[in-house]
Amino acid sequence: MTESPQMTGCPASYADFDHMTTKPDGESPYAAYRELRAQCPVGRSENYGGFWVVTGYPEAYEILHNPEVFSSRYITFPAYPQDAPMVPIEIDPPEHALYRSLLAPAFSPRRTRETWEDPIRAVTNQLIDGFIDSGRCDVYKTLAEPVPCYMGTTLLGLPDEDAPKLLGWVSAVVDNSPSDPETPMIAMQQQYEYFAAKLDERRKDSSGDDVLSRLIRAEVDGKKLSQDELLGFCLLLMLASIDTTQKAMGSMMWHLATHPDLRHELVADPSKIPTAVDEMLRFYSPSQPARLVKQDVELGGQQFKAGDVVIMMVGAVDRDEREFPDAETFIPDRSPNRHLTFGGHIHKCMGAHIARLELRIVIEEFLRRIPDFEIEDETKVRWNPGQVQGYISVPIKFPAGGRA
Amino acid sequence: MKVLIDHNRCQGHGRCYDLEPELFEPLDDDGHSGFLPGRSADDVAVLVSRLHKVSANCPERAITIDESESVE
Repeated sequence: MTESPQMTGCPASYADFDHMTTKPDGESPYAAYRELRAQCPVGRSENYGGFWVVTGYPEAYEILHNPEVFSSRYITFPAYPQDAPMVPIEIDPPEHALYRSLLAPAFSPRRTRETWEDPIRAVTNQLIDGFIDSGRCDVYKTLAEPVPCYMGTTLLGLPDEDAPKLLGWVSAVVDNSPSDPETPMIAMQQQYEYFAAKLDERRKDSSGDDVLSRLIRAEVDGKKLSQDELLGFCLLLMLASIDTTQKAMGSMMWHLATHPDLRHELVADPSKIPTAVDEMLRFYSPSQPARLVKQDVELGGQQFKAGDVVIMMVGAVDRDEREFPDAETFIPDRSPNRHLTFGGHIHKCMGAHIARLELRIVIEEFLRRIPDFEIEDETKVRWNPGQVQGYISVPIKFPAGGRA
Repeated sequence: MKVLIDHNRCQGHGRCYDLEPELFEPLDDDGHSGFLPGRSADDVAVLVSRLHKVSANCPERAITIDESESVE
């Protein structure tokens, strides 16, 4: 363990922190996170009317484990233009548990592996077939984007060909600059209309195993879910199942492309891949969720007031030396590795088992067939900032043909 | 020795049965974990070290290894 950062007031360098800022040339934010955390694990940004920024692990752990003080009512900041909360991620206790239990069967760890391992492996190989003979591709566009699209649409029971439409809405809502409020508003309304129509279809026949059918069948306290609750589930499921995994996968492929020694190690011994996936998740946490402060409270030497917003920069939190010795080094079999990439406590990511499975299979199949690859054009690499972060342009080259 | 899993803390992250499928298993759809006693052929010292590794990796700090009693 290293010594705690100094906690003398609120360092000025947090004042202009902006999680939405796009950096040029595909640069990732980790150096900036390190500088902030070295001064203080919690600071205050003056952007967007002011918000608290958490870069330290114990402080984020404390927030996640105190939902009574740190409400999940708004987990996005600046808040998405929603008509109603995302369910159950923006629902606080005690109602939260009732909603959450409705979907547990669809995300069960046992069923996840039994049901999805083979289909995900087949889809991954079909996608690799599509670019392996060319010797080059943007591995974000050709793999990291479509695999989670396949998984998300299949789970929800939506046609695969609707994926581009969903992606357009996700991107307009999640990645849009706050200076253009209209684009996310239009996309938000379009996705509400789309899911309302899909829910109507399920009302006619809700016998399916897909998540939308399960939601139509579901009851809480003997009552069917309201339209707002159903649409709140749909919005969350679309954003959480597709966008986060895509960006985590993009970062994973960038890391593998730029670290040949790690690649060789995993090719030589694929049994190291599962723990390497968790180290990838720690190293490139995609989601940076917000909380709404419900009562005055002190955290990390700072005084929060009721009504304040705090964002957990999990990408910074998961590289805190106080929890992870040698935190800036990628250690494929790191232990312990208690990263907060999937959050924790009552709002722990429901799809964590599916996300891990997708990431593991993509590494296994990609490295089996294309063990050697590198970045083709550094200038085209892109990092996507914001509350869902990661590499979203990863142009690579490799010996054409690979393995069948 | 006892393996104690605090089910109020456990949130179904599943790190225990991912790391040691021989010793832990998911109990329900939420992924809460159960310990499988008598499954390991290891001697006690090896078993204890495997259990401590699992305990250290639990993101919710829900697993405690109590070595105060004799092997159970």
